[in-house]
Amino acid sequence: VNDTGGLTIWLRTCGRALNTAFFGFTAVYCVLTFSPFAYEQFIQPHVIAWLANFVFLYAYFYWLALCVTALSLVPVMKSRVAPFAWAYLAIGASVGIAITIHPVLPAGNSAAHSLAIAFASLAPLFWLGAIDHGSRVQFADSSKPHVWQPDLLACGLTAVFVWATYAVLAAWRLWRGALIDSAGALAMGITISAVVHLTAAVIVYLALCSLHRLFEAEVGRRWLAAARVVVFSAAAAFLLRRIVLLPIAVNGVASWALAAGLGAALVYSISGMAHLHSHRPRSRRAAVSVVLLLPAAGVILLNSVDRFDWGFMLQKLSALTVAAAACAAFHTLVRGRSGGPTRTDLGVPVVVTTLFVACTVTAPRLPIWLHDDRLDPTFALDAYAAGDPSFRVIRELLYADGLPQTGADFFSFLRANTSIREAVGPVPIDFVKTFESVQGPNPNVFVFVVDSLRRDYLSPYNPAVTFTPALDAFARQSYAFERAFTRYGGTGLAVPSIWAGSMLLHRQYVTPFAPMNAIAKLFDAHHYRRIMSVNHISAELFGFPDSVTQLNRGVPEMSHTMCGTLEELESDLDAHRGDPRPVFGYARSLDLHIGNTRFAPVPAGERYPGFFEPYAARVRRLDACLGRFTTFLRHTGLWDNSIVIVVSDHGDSLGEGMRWGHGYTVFPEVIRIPLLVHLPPTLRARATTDVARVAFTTDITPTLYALLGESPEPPRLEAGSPLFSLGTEALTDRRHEAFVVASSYGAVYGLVRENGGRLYIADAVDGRDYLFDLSRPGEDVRIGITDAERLASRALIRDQVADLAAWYGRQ
Amino acid sequence: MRFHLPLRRVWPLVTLLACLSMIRLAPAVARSDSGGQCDRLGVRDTAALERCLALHQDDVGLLIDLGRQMERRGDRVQAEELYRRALRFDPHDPEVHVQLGTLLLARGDRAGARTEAREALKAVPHNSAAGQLARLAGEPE
Repeated sequence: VNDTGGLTIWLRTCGRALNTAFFGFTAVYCVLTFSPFAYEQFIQPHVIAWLANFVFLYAYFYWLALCVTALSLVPVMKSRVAPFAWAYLAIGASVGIAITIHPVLPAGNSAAHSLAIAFASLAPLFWLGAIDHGSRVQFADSSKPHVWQPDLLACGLTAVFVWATYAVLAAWRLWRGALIDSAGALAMGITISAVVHLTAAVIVYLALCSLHRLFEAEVGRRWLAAARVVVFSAAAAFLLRRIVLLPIAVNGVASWALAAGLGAALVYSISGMAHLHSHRPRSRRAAVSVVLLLPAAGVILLNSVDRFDWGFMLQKLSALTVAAAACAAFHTLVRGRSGGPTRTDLGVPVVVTTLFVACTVTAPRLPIWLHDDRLDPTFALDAYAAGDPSFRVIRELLYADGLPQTGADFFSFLRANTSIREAVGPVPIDFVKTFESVQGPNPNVFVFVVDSLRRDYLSPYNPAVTFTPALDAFARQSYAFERAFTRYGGTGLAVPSIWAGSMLLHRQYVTPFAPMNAIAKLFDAHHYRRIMSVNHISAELFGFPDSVTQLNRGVPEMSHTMCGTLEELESDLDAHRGDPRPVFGYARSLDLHIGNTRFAPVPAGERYPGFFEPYAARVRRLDACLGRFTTFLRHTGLWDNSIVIVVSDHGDSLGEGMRWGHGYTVFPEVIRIPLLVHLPPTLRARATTDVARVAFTTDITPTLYALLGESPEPPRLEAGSPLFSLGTEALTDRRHEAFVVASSYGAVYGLVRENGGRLYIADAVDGRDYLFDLSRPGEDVRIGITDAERLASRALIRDQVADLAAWYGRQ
Repeated sequence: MRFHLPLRRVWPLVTLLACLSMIRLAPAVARSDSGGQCDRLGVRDTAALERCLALHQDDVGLLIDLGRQMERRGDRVQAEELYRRALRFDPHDPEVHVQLGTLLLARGDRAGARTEAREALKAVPHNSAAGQLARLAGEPE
């Protein structure tokens, strides 16, 4: 194709980019439906509203993409690739008609369907890539194709540029958030980041250089482009699996297959677009513009994703994008500098690598040499990495499997027992063999689960809080458990584990759930009238027979507020005043979910210094509604005959270590929760408890068993036990026991011990571990971990996870 | 396709492999033994507990575990000393108070047992084990 118009080529490239984005996103959507947790927790509750619109309008988007592609193919319709272009359009139109009539996007209930559509959506990228590669594009001002060569100076400049951009940004972010201990620690982070960036640059340079050298002979050069596509595809697949797929719990063979397919399709498509420009002289002016604009673009990208990220995934991808663009721009700027690699190009990598080794070896000794504990690289570099996604991603890749604490076997074991895919049958969870026939009226039971509610935003747990007067009053007449933890970071398994009163197999979900639904068994046996929030989990697991009153019916899940739910509950209680049956009221609200709070406005005139203000403002509103509900109970005479439990399914990160939301972590702020229990006076007179003993969300159901006159016996170690004794049974001795906690969404496990004073975390997604001292009031302190503690903690986690798996018949 | 691979063409690959090897080895070289050899969790035999205690002298859990071991072996004097040592590190741990009080009660020291039960209940008013100890020691309701 002879094409003298650069504008045409650019329009064609834009069309191709749009097509790549559309089908790439289709594949990503299918991957999300393939991941059980991503489907259950992102797509089902409509956490991202526009995703639902994408699915609903998918056929229209498809036709738009096809029309744009048709226009972009006009220039090749008389070339040798024309038959392929016509065939693409014909098949594309047929598929378009089919998906208009019958929607094809997977619904999350069939892994095979999700995989099939994911791979099918990559076919257009390969097809159009092949058309672009087969096109002969020639410009009037250039007859010789540009041969791209790796250049050490360009790679080095890229490293310095990216390092400097993110170092400035990290310094600003960390100081603003007071997230780094000292200027020394910051300087250490910046210095080591420079070395790490240079090391990455020389590795990339050497890899590309190796490729070029191996194919530099004419006989090999024909294969150079293909080899480059293969190598880039492999690199893209590695990065996609590591940064995207593993964090969303796509493991095993499927993760490799999806990563390879996505990586190859994206690289082939992009290289096809690059081929369209291969005969065109590179514009240094454009390259300078890119270099000048990239820092701003990096900042904008980072700020737009950092509060709704998933384990820093989007931040890492944004840093890689900036680095790739910078690398292309610097190669354009230094083009023609030399005829190829020189001896200097051999020496510089050796010097840089030696520098890297020297830094790695000396850094752990700095605290001793400089008498400053804050320079411990484990902590200082982790803190720095929180603000610098570029450093974070390179560090993870360079140190992958090289850290002494990695323990590949242990982490493989955790991954194998996480987000289990194979069908597993339920196990019976029975706290009692037979239910007692209790004399006299049962108390009403109200369980309010506030999604993402942190304990330190409630005055019973934090004296600095002044905006929860109602819960403060509630706590004074109740029991506030001081060391309460959820068993799961993340709603997916946290809520079902409350109902089961036990940890569950790491699968979303083992069904039918009824044999494990200990709380439903209790209330059915005691003939309670049930009033419950409808959400995707309760609908899927609890079920809603006609006898159950549904709250929040028809309300989008992300809009379930405590105020709205309690108003409905009050109306229902008013309407059933004559009903003699006791009530089990259950509500879960999402007022505080990060999807609702990240950009929520703070009402005029309200200030919450020291707190995340949008979140605190919503806690105030929620507190007022809970206060109104307790007033309602008093006015209706129900207060003195009701057990009221206020709890959260998990906490949330609100900027600690630049983390936001709960993702797949079990950091202290995510697993420590408030647990407030009000008892009717008759029960309070008989009950004894130990509010300073470690408590878990899984204790709620066995506690209700005990309070309703049953004598629950925990069926397994992983099950909860009553928080109160009514005089006949002693509380279990658990102050010196160790308890496993886990993320609902990833292979990240924790071990709570020393009565909730210590938390060991094993992160099998990032291959890291952490130890926290939680014994000091008001602060969670990360501390060093010895090899012995690491081994012992891992052994206990392994035992309990294996025991849980064995319970379900898995070996 | 014929390939000739003289050194001139493979030096980047050789350098790359050398650099990657150095990078992989660096963390192992840097590794310093930061902790002792105490398997603090799951340890149950006396010798191992004593070894751990030498490394973690303020670990209340270890002190209690070792105290219980001593009690089982009939060495109440040593057990009492360990419990009292634990209380120096955490004067409010009700479990230690209850453990010590139970030991005192077994020795016939009802007043001492009552004191420990009161301390435990002061720290945790609803502690059922402490309440039971108080009743056994004759503490008025």
